[in-house]
Amino acid sequence: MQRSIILVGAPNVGKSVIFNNLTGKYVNVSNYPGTTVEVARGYARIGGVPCEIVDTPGIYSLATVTDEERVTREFLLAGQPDLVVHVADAKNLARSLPFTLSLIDAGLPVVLVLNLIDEAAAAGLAFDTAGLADLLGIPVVATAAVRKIGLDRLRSVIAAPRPRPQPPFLLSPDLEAAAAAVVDRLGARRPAARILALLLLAGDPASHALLKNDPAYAGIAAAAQAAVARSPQPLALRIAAERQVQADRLAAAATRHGPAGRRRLAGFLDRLTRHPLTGIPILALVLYWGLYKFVGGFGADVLVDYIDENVFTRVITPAVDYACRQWVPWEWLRSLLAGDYGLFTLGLRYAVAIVLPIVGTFFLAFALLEDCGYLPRLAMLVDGLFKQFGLNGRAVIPVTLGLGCGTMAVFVVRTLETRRERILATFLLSLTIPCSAQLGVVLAILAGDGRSVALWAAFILAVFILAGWLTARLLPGERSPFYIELPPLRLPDPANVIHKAYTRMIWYFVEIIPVFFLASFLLWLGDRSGLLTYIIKAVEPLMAGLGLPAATAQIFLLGFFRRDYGTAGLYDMAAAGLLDSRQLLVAAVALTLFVPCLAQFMVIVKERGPVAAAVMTLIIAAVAMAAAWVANLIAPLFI
Amino acid sequence: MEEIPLTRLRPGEKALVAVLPAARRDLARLLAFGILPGTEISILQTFPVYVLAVGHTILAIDKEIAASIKIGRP
Ligand SMILES: Nc1nc2c(ncn2[C@@H]2O[C@H](COP(=O)(O)OP(=O)(O)OP(=O)(O)O)[C@@H](O)[C@H]2O)c(=O)[nH]1
Ligand SMILES: [Mg+2]
Repeated sequence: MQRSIILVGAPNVGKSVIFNNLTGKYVNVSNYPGTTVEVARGYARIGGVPCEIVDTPGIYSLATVTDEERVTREFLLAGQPDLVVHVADAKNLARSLPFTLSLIDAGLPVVLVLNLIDEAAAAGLAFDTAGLADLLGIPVVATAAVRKIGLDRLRSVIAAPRPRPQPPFLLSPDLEAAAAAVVDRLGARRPAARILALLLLAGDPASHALLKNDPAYAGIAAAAQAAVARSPQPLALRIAAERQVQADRLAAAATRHGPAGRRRLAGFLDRLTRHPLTGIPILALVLYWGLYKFVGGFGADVLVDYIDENVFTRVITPAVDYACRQWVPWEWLRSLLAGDYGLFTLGLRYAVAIVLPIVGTFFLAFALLEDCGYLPRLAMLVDGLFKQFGLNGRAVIPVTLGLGCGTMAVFVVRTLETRRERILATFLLSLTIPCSAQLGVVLAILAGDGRSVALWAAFILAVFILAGWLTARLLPGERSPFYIELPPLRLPDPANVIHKAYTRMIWYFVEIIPVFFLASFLLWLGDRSGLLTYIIKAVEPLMAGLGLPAATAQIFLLGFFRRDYGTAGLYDMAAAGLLDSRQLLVAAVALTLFVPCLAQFMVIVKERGPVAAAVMTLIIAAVAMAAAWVANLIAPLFI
Repeated sequence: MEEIPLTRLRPGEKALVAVLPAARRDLARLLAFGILPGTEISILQTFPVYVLAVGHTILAIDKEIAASIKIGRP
């Protein structure tokens, strides 16, 4: 029989590192809370036992708030796993133990993993794991997962016979009596009845919602309400306080304090990145070197030119041409493969020569930022600005990820708390945040002229701020408070940086190749049938209104499939010298804002629903055109 | 003992938490970070958001949450 092992714990404690080590798969590992937003499964034979291992989004406690936390909780309480591996940050043992206790409470077979033991040791902390295991009645393993320390011990614990569920750690008699009364109504045989009862007493809305349709709910709610009414203090507070007392006692018994090593440099950098006076200049440096120089300069200029000239112009294009002339007797097939809209000349070339180098360099730079722990610090710096958009600083993580790929970013919007925030963030992402491919191409084509780049950036920033400010007012509702845990700044592990950038690049590539082929096929079809000329004619007045040549219509058509694809078309037009600097700027603005690409649209449908997706797309198309029109009007003032 | 909002503290100061916010969501969040009445916190920064150290945890919270936490002043 296959065993199901589930990894749970607070965000950013190393669950995914452990998952990767146990299964040999790779899921993203980054140094900020909320990296994992979806359950991941892997399989491994551990000590001869076949196991299914599940990695989950981090949760701070069983009383959950966001969508992705709820996923983890349902997995735990309804999934009946064979073993729950609670991964905790050893530095914060006392803070982590209440969660362990509530897992034990739920009647689950638990193992406690004290991870990040290397950082704890540096802070002067040592642990008596055997003693703690005795006190808790469950296995306790100390690990430093990134250094692969303690993982063999963890494997042997996983392979050992399933530990027996432990009796719960009792609270004070009146709380126990209240819990028992609720358990009574719930039916004691229901899995995790005791923990569910405690959550109900604490007023956890998700637990109440879970039982809303239960015939016994009225009685259950009444029993909980009676206890709430009797207590002078909120029960959530009392239960947490009693748990914490137990946790503190256990942690104190298991911890040995020694002299702490000093991490002067880390402390200094931490203060620099946190303080606005130094943090904002640091942000400017990160943007300049990371985005402008590395992605825009190295990726979009040097690499793109190199691959385009040396690989495509010299090798692939002549080879395909030659092959076509030799072996393909039909003109239509020749043009499908190697014509103006050919699968190779357009589809593959755009994907490999233009988009991939840019996206690749972006993912590399972004992985470095993620792994050093910079993003949560950025989140606190921009919280004030994002509040103006009905969001809070946490939204900076999906937004910066959107600078890489909007499709991935829309997934990560899940980590925001309220529905309104998720809609606002999705809208802003789809409208104003250029993905790395667009960004790189825009930087490359405008690069000849520093003023154009500055103007484009200022314009997009203005639209971002205006759109954010306006939508927040048009869509009133709840805003959630800002809180984020700041992880220690860590030295990125080169292997992880490369692996993560590579995995994302491959994901991206697999995502775009079929769309690129499909788009060039449809364009080819349109070209052959004359439909394309007709469409281009039809939108000519629109293009003329923006001061653009008619041929630009074609890149907007490409943009419908993928924004990066359209921008790649713009790259070609610019290279051919078809546009002057004002037209380049206007086209760049329009394409940056233009409708989300097909893939992103699909994800929006999936995450936010078809209605929201359709409405957003319509608004975005209109705003993009209007903004381009304005850009066309004001550009002559500057260039 | 006097109870004042956490926002009255300056960077570098330490204090014991006295009263937590009543709003369920905020309460649940703070409890999850191990912040309870009696917990010692130190203030690292107060602008643009409040940065607190609780044990080995560094937490950034906005002014609203910070103002809803009351600390005890002897
Ligand atoms: N020094 C050290 N760093 C570690 C260790 N384990 C994990 N890390 C780092 O901690 C960070 C978080 O690791 P993840 O595996 O992404 O954490 P997670 O628990 O999956 O986080 P979420 O998905 O956000 O819930 C990464 O930067 C890791 O490199 C460890 O044992 N020692
Ligand atoms: Mg993870």
